Amino acid sequence: MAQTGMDEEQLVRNLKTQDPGAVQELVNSYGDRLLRSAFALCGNETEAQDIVQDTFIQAIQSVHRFRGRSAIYTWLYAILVNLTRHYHRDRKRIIYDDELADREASPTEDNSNGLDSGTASSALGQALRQLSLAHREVIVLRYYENMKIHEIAAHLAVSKGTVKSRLHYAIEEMQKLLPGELNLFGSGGTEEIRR
Amino acid sequence: MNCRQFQNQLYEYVEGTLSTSIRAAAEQHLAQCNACRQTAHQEQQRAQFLSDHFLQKTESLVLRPEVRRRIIASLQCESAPGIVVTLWDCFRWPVGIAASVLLVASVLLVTHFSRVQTGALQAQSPVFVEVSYHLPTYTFRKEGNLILDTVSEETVVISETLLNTKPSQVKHEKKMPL
Repeated sequence: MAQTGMDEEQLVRNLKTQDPGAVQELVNSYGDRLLRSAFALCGNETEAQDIVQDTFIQAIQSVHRFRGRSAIYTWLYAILVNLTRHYHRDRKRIIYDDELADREASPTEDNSNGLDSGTASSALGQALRQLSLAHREVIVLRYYENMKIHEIAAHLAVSKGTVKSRLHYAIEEMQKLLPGELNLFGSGGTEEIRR
Repeated sequence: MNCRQFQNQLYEYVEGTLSTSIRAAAEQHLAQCNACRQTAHQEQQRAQFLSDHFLQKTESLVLRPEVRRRIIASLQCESAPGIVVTLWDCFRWPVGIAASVLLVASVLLVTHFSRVQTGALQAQSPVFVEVSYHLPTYTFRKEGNLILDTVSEETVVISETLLNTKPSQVKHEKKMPL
Protein backbone atom coordinates (compact mmCIF):
# COMPACT_ATOMS: atom_id res chain seq x y z
CA MET A 1 0.00 0.00 0.00
CA ALA A 2 1.28 3.43 -0.84
CA GLN A 3 2.25 5.76 1.97
CA THR A 4 -0.13 8.65 2.40
CA GLY A 5 0.14 11.81 4.43
CA MET A 6 -3.44 11.52 5.64
CA ASP A 7 -5.49 8.49 6.49
CA GLU A 8 -7.87 7.08 3.91
CA GLU A 9 -11.04 8.36 5.59
CA GLN A 10 -9.68 11.89 5.70
CA LEU A 11 -8.52 11.61 2.12
CA VAL A 12 -11.96 10.51 0.96
CA ARG A 13 -13.62 13.35 2.94
CA ASN A 14 -11.31 15.86 1.28
CA LEU A 15 -11.89 14.34 -2.14
CA LYS A 16 -15.61 14.79 -1.65
CA THR A 17 -15.04 18.50 -1.19
CA GLN A 18 -13.10 18.60 -4.48
CA ASP A 19 -9.92 19.54 -2.65
CA PRO A 20 -7.05 19.76 -5.19
CA GLY A 21 -4.56 18.79 -2.48
CA ALA A 22 -6.45 15.57 -1.86
CA VAL A 23 -6.50 14.77 -5.57
CA GLN A 24 -2.78 15.45 -5.73
CA GLU A 25 -2.23 13.10 -2.83
CA LEU A 26 -4.42 10.43 -4.41
CA VAL A 27 -2.44 10.59 -7.65
CA ASN A 28 0.90 10.60 -5.83
CA SER A 29 -0.09 7.62 -3.70
CA TYR A 30 -1.61 5.35 -6.30
CA GLY A 31 -0.74 6.72 -9.77
CA ASP A 32 2.45 4.76 -10.46
CA ARG A 33 1.10 1.53 -9.02
CA LEU A 34 -2.04 1.77 -11.12
CA LEU A 35 0.05 2.62 -14.20
CA ARG A 36 2.17 -0.50 -13.79
CA SER A 37 -0.86 -2.68 -13.41
CA ALA A 38 -2.54 -1.03 -16.41
CA PHE A 39 0.61 -1.65 -18.42
CA ALA A 40 0.59 -5.31 -17.40
CA LEU A 41 -3.03 -5.52 -18.54
CA CYS A 42 -2.77 -3.70 -21.86
CA GLY A 43 0.93 -3.94 -22.80
CA ASN A 44 1.15 -0.39 -24.10
CA GLU A 45 2.50 2.46 -21.99
CA THR A 46 0.70 5.27 -23.81
CA GLU A 47 -2.60 3.45 -23.48
CA ALA A 48 -1.83 2.62 -19.86
CA GLN A 49 -1.25 6.35 -19.15
CA ASP A 50 -4.62 7.17 -20.75
CA ILE A 51 -6.40 4.45 -18.79
CA VAL A 52 -4.94 5.66 -15.49
CA GLN A 53 -5.87 9.27 -16.30
CA ASP A 54 -9.44 8.21 -17.03
CA THR A 55 -9.46 6.08 -13.89
CA PHE A 56 -8.65 9.07 -11.69
CA ILE A 57 -11.08 11.37 -13.49
CA GLN A 58 -13.87 8.81 -13.13
CA ALA A 59 -12.95 8.30 -9.47
CA ILE A 60 -13.12 12.05 -8.80
CA GLN A 61 -16.50 12.24 -10.52
CA SER A 62 -17.91 9.32 -8.56
CA VAL A 63 -16.20 9.81 -5.20
CA HIS A 64 -19.57 10.66 -3.63
CA ARG A 65 -20.65 7.11 -4.24
CA PHE A 66 -17.61 5.70 -2.46
CA ARG A 67 -18.82 4.41 0.92
CA GLY A 68 -15.48 3.31 2.27
CA ARG A 69 -16.39 -0.37 2.36
CA SER A 70 -13.12 -1.19 0.60
CA ALA A 71 -9.65 0.32 0.49
CA ILE A 72 -9.17 3.26 -1.87
CA TYR A 73 -6.78 1.27 -4.02
CA THR A 74 -9.32 -1.56 -4.39
CA TRP A 75 -11.92 0.96 -5.50
CA LEU A 76 -9.54 2.61 -7.98
CA TYR A 77 -8.42 -0.76 -9.27
CA ALA A 78 -12.00 -1.83 -9.93
CA ILE A 79 -12.46 1.30 -12.09
CA LEU A 80 -9.17 0.58 -13.86
CA VAL A 81 -10.12 -3.00 -14.74
CA ASN A 82 -13.48 -1.83 -16.00
CA LEU A 83 -11.93 0.86 -18.18
CA THR A 84 -9.36 -1.59 -19.54
CA ARG A 85 -12.22 -3.80 -20.67
CA HIS A 86 -13.81 -0.86 -22.47
CA TYR A 87 -10.52 -0.06 -24.20
CA HIS A 88 -10.23 -3.60 -25.46
CA ARG A 89 -13.83 -4.37 -26.21
CA ASP A 90 -13.26 -4.48 -29.94
CA ARG A 91 -9.85 -6.07 -29.80
CA LYS A 92 -9.36 -9.77 -29.27
CA ARG A 93 -5.61 -9.57 -28.93
CA ILE A 94 -3.18 -6.79 -28.13
CA ILE A 95 -0.90 -5.76 -30.93
CA TYR A 96 2.64 -6.21 -29.83
CA ASP A 97 3.97 -2.76 -30.67
CA ASP A 98 7.52 -1.46 -31.13
CA GLU A 99 7.47 0.42 -27.86
CA LEU A 100 6.78 -2.73 -25.93
CA ALA A 101 9.32 -4.70 -27.94
CA ASP A 102 11.97 -2.12 -26.96
CA ARG A 103 10.95 -2.42 -23.34
CA GLU A 104 11.09 -6.21 -23.50
CA ALA A 105 14.56 -6.15 -25.04
CA SER A 106 16.26 -5.38 -21.75
CA PRO A 107 19.95 -6.16 -21.16
CA THR A 108 20.47 -9.88 -20.95
CA GLU A 109 22.21 -12.04 -18.41
CA ASP A 110 23.38 -15.54 -19.05
CA ASN A 111 21.55 -18.19 -17.13
CA SER A 112 22.84 -21.55 -16.03
CA ASN A 113 20.62 -23.36 -18.55
CA GLY A 114 21.52 -21.05 -21.44
CA LEU A 115 18.22 -19.09 -21.43
CA ASP A 116 19.04 -15.48 -20.49
CA SER A 117 16.64 -13.55 -18.32
CA GLY A 118 15.98 -10.96 -21.04
CA THR A 119 14.80 -13.59 -23.49
CA ALA A 120 12.74 -15.31 -20.81
CA SER A 121 11.15 -12.04 -19.78
CA SER A 122 10.44 -11.06 -23.36
CA ALA A 123 8.86 -14.45 -24.07
CA LEU A 124 6.69 -14.16 -20.97
CA GLY A 125 5.58 -10.66 -21.95
CA GLN A 126 4.64 -11.79 -25.44
CA ALA A 127 2.81 -14.86 -24.16
CA LEU A 128 0.85 -12.75 -21.69
CA ARG A 129 -0.25 -10.35 -24.37
CA GLN A 130 -1.49 -13.12 -26.59
CA LEU A 131 -3.90 -14.31 -23.91
CA SER A 132 -7.52 -13.30 -23.99
CA LEU A 133 -8.34 -10.35 -21.73
CA ALA A 134 -10.23 -12.64 -19.30
CA HIS A 135 -7.16 -14.85 -18.90
CA ARG A 136 -4.72 -11.93 -18.75
CA GLU A 137 -6.83 -10.29 -16.03
CA VAL A 138 -6.62 -13.25 -13.68
CA ILE A 139 -2.88 -13.65 -14.26
CA VAL A 140 -2.20 -9.97 -13.55
CA LEU A 141 -4.51 -9.83 -10.55
CA ARG A 142 -3.05 -13.01 -9.09
CA TYR A 143 0.65 -12.69 -9.80
CA TYR A 144 1.15 -8.93 -10.10
CA GLU A 145 -1.40 -7.55 -7.66
CA ASN A 146 -0.93 -10.65 -5.46
CA MET A 147 -4.67 -10.82 -4.86
CA LYS A 148 -6.25 -13.77 -3.17
CA ILE A 149 -8.78 -15.92 -5.03
CA HIS A 150 -11.79 -14.41 -3.26
CA GLU A 151 -10.52 -10.89 -3.94
CA ILE A 152 -10.14 -11.61 -7.66
CA ALA A 153 -13.62 -13.12 -7.70
CA ALA A 154 -15.03 -9.96 -6.11
CA HIS A 155 -13.14 -7.71 -8.52
CA LEU A 156 -14.30 -9.54 -11.62
CA ALA A 157 -17.78 -10.35 -10.26
CA VAL A 158 -17.38 -14.06 -10.93
CA SER A 159 -17.29 -17.11 -8.66
CA LYS A 160 -14.12 -18.40 -7.01
CA GLY A 161 -14.45 -21.55 -9.11
CA THR A 162 -14.44 -19.48 -12.29
CA VAL A 163 -11.31 -17.64 -11.14
CA LYS A 164 -9.49 -20.91 -10.47
CA SER A 165 -10.63 -22.36 -13.77
CA ARG A 166 -9.48 -19.25 -15.68
CA LEU A 167 -6.14 -19.32 -13.88
CA HIS A 168 -5.64 -22.95 -14.77
CA TYR A 169 -6.41 -22.44 -18.45
CA ALA A 170 -4.48 -19.16 -18.62
CA ILE A 171 -1.31 -20.81 -17.30
CA GLU A 172 -1.83 -23.76 -19.60
CA GLU A 173 -2.25 -21.42 -22.58
CA MET A 174 0.80 -19.38 -21.58
CA GLN A 175 2.84 -22.54 -21.36
CA LYS A 176 1.93 -23.44 -24.94
CA LEU A 177 3.16 -20.02 -26.08
CA LEU A 178 6.47 -20.21 -24.22
CA PRO A 179 9.67 -21.84 -25.44
CA GLY A 180 10.42 -25.29 -24.03
CA GLU A 181 13.10 -23.96 -21.67
CA LEU A 182 10.46 -21.93 -19.81
CA ASN A 183 8.39 -24.55 -18.09
CA LEU A 184 5.72 -23.16 -15.79
CA PHE A 185 4.63 -26.67 -14.82
CA GLY A 186 7.71 -28.86 -14.89
CA SER A 187 9.75 -29.73 -11.85
CA GLY A 188 12.11 -26.90 -11.06
CA GLY A 189 11.20 -25.20 -14.34
CA THR A 190 10.93 -21.76 -12.89
CA GLU A 191 13.92 -22.24 -10.64
CA GLU A 192 16.15 -22.36 -13.68
CA ILE A 193 15.18 -18.99 -15.07
CA ARG A 194 15.95 -16.77 -12.14
CA ARG A 195 17.70 -13.56 -13.01
CA MET B 1 -8.46 -35.22 1.79
CA ASN B 2 -7.61 -36.82 -1.55
CA CYS B 3 -5.61 -35.46 -4.50
CA ARG B 4 -8.65 -34.03 -6.30
CA GLN B 5 -9.84 -32.20 -3.20
CA PHE B 6 -6.35 -30.81 -2.65
CA GLN B 7 -6.09 -29.59 -6.25
CA ASN B 8 -9.39 -27.76 -5.75
CA GLN B 9 -7.93 -25.97 -2.73
CA LEU B 10 -4.43 -25.47 -4.15
CA TYR B 11 -4.59 -21.67 -4.56
CA GLU B 12 -6.14 -21.13 -1.15
CA TYR B 13 -3.50 -23.41 0.38
CA VAL B 14 -0.65 -21.43 -1.21
CA GLU B 15 -2.14 -18.04 -0.28
CA GLY B 16 -2.91 -19.24 3.26
CA THR B 17 -6.65 -18.63 3.33
CA LEU B 18 -7.81 -22.13 4.23
CA SER B 19 -9.61 -22.66 7.52
CA THR B 20 -7.59 -24.33 10.27
CA SER B 21 -9.29 -27.71 9.89
CA ILE B 22 -9.01 -27.81 6.07
CA ARG B 23 -5.41 -26.66 6.23
CA ALA B 24 -4.64 -29.46 8.68
CA ALA B 25 -6.27 -31.97 6.31
CA ALA B 26 -4.25 -30.56 3.42
CA GLU B 27 -1.00 -30.80 5.38
CA GLN B 28 -1.85 -34.36 6.29
CA HIS B 29 -2.45 -35.19 2.62
CA LEU B 30 0.78 -33.49 1.52
CA ALA B 31 2.75 -35.53 4.02
CA GLN B 32 1.65 -38.66 2.18
CA CYS B 33 1.41 -37.44 -1.45
CA ASN B 34 4.56 -36.52 -3.31
CA ALA B 35 2.70 -35.41 -6.48
CA CYS B 36 0.52 -32.87 -4.64
CA ARG B 37 3.51 -31.65 -2.66
CA GLN B 38 5.28 -30.99 -5.93
CA THR B 39 2.21 -29.23 -7.38
CA ALA B 40 2.04 -26.91 -4.38
CA HIS B 41 5.74 -26.18 -4.64
CA GLN B 42 5.40 -25.42 -8.37
CA GLU B 43 2.57 -22.98 -7.73
CA GLN B 44 4.65 -21.16 -5.13
CA GLN B 45 7.57 -20.96 -7.56
CA ARG B 46 5.34 -19.85 -10.41
CA ALA B 47 3.82 -17.10 -8.28
CA GLN B 48 7.25 -15.85 -7.26
CA PHE B 49 8.62 -16.02 -10.80
CA LEU B 50 5.71 -14.23 -12.48
CA SER B 51 5.58 -11.63 -9.71
CA ASP B 52 9.29 -10.90 -10.17
CA HIS B 53 8.79 -10.69 -13.92
CA PHE B 54 6.00 -8.14 -13.61
CA LEU B 55 7.94 -6.02 -11.14
CA GLN B 56 11.04 -6.07 -13.29
CA LYS B 57 9.14 -5.07 -16.42
CA THR B 58 7.20 -2.23 -14.85
CA GLU B 59 9.33 -0.76 -12.07
CA SER B 60 10.64 2.05 -14.30
CA LEU B 61 7.15 3.22 -15.27
CA VAL B 62 5.90 6.48 -13.74
CA LEU B 63 2.83 8.55 -14.39
CA ARG B 64 3.67 11.38 -16.78
CA PRO B 65 3.54 14.97 -15.45
CA GLU B 66 1.05 16.04 -18.14
CA VAL B 67 -1.28 13.22 -17.12
CA ARG B 68 -1.08 14.40 -13.49
CA ARG B 69 -1.87 17.95 -14.61
CA ARG B 70 -4.86 16.84 -16.64
CA ILE B 71 -6.25 14.93 -13.67
CA ILE B 72 -5.99 18.00 -11.43
CA ALA B 73 -7.47 20.18 -14.18
CA SER B 74 -10.50 17.91 -14.39
CA LEU B 75 -11.48 19.18 -10.92
CA GLN B 76 -12.47 22.59 -12.29
CA CYS B 77 -15.13 20.99 -14.44
CA GLU B 78 -16.46 19.11 -11.45
CA SER B 79 -17.05 21.87 -8.88
CA ALA B 80 -20.48 23.12 -10.04
CA PRO B 81 -22.36 19.88 -10.51
CA GLY B 82 -20.72 18.48 -7.43
CA ILE B 83 -23.28 20.01 -5.05
CA VAL B 84 -26.18 18.62 -7.03
CA VAL B 85 -24.52 15.25 -7.13
CA THR B 86 -23.91 15.41 -3.37
CA LEU B 87 -27.54 16.20 -2.60
CA TRP B 88 -28.81 13.56 -4.95
CA ASP B 89 -26.38 10.99 -3.54
CA CYS B 90 -27.49 11.84 0.01
CA PHE B 91 -31.18 11.53 -0.71
CA ARG B 92 -31.46 9.08 -3.58
CA TRP B 93 -31.78 6.03 -1.34
CA PRO B 94 -34.43 7.48 1.01
CA VAL B 95 -36.32 8.90 -1.97
CA GLY B 96 -36.10 5.64 -3.84
CA ILE B 97 -37.26 3.60 -0.85
CA ALA B 98 -40.12 6.01 -0.09
CA ALA B 99 -41.29 5.92 -3.71
CA SER B 100 -41.18 2.13 -3.72
CA VAL B 101 -43.13 1.90 -0.46
CA LEU B 102 -45.77 4.32 -1.77
CA LEU B 103 -46.12 2.38 -4.99
CA VAL B 104 -46.51 -0.94 -3.22
CA ALA B 105 -48.97 0.54 -0.69
CA SER B 106 -51.06 2.05 -3.50
CA VAL B 107 -51.24 -1.24 -5.35
CA LEU B 108 -52.19 -3.09 -2.15
CA LEU B 109 -54.89 -0.57 -1.23
CA VAL B 110 -56.43 -0.54 -4.69
CA THR B 111 -56.44 -4.33 -4.79
CA HIS B 112 -57.92 -4.57 -1.31
CA PHE B 113 -60.76 -2.12 -1.87
CA SER B 114 -61.68 -3.47 -5.25
CA ARG B 115 -61.99 -6.91 -3.68
CA VAL B 116 -64.13 -5.55 -0.82
CA GLN B 117 -66.45 -3.82 -3.26
CA THR B 118 -66.79 -6.87 -5.44
CA GLY B 119 -67.37 -9.02 -2.39
CA ALA B 120 -70.07 -6.72 -1.15
CA LEU B 121 -71.84 -6.83 -4.46
CA GLN B 122 -71.56 -10.56 -4.57
CA ALA B 123 -72.87 -10.81 -1.00
CA GLN B 124 -76.11 -8.98 -1.89
CA SER B 125 -78.85 -11.58 -2.51
CA PRO B 126 -81.72 -10.70 -4.80
CA VAL B 127 -84.78 -9.21 -3.04
CA PHE B 128 -88.19 -10.41 -4.04
CA VAL B 129 -90.79 -7.71 -3.60
CA GLU B 130 -94.46 -8.29 -3.93
CA VAL B 131 -97.08 -5.54 -3.62
CA SER B 132 -100.78 -6.13 -3.82
CA TYR B 133 -103.74 -3.77 -3.67
CA HIS B 134 -107.49 -4.01 -3.98
CA LEU B 135 -109.26 -2.07 -6.67
CA PRO B 136 -112.96 -1.68 -5.93
CA THR B 137 -115.45 -1.23 -8.72
CA TYR B 138 -118.92 0.14 -8.07
CA THR B 139 -121.71 -0.76 -10.43
CA PHE B 140 -125.14 0.91 -10.31
CA ARG B 141 -128.34 -0.41 -11.94
CA LYS B 142 -132.01 0.64 -11.78
CA GLU B 143 -134.71 -1.90 -11.06
CA GLY B 144 -138.08 -0.13 -11.06
CA ASN B 145 -137.82 2.61 -8.54
CA LEU B 146 -134.78 1.20 -6.88
CA ILE B 147 -131.21 1.83 -7.64
CA LEU B 148 -129.05 -1.07 -6.73
CA ASP B 149 -125.33 -0.96 -6.46
CA THR B 150 -122.83 -3.72 -6.31
CA VAL B 151 -119.25 -3.60 -5.37
CA SER B 152 -116.73 -5.83 -6.89
CA GLU B 153 -113.13 -5.91 -5.91
CA GLU B 154 -110.18 -6.62 -8.02
CA THR B 155 -106.88 -7.59 -6.41
CA VAL B 156 -103.82 -6.47 -8.28
CA VAL B 157 -100.54 -8.09 -7.39
CA ILE B 158 -97.16 -6.67 -8.53
CA SER B 159 -94.12 -8.80 -7.82
CA GLU B 160 -90.55 -7.86 -8.64
CA THR B 161 -87.07 -9.23 -8.02
CA LEU B 162 -84.59 -6.43 -7.22
CA LEU B 163 -80.99 -7.04 -8.14
CA ASN B 164 -79.17 -3.71 -7.74
CA THR B 165 -79.56 -2.97 -11.40
CA LYS B 166 -82.72 -3.17 -13.34
CA PRO B 167 -85.59 -5.39 -12.33
CA SER B 168 -85.08 -8.86 -13.60
CA GLN B 169 -88.63 -9.97 -13.18
CA VAL B 170 -91.84 -8.03 -13.01
CA LYS B 171 -95.07 -9.84 -12.67
CA HIS B 172 -98.51 -8.40 -12.62
CA GLU B 173 -101.43 -10.55 -11.62
CA LYS B 174 -105.03 -9.75 -11.54
CA LYS B 175 -107.46 -11.69 -9.48
CA MET B 176 -110.99 -12.09 -10.40
CA PRO B 177 -113.60 -9.99 -8.59
CA LEU B 178 -114.82 -11.44 -5.37
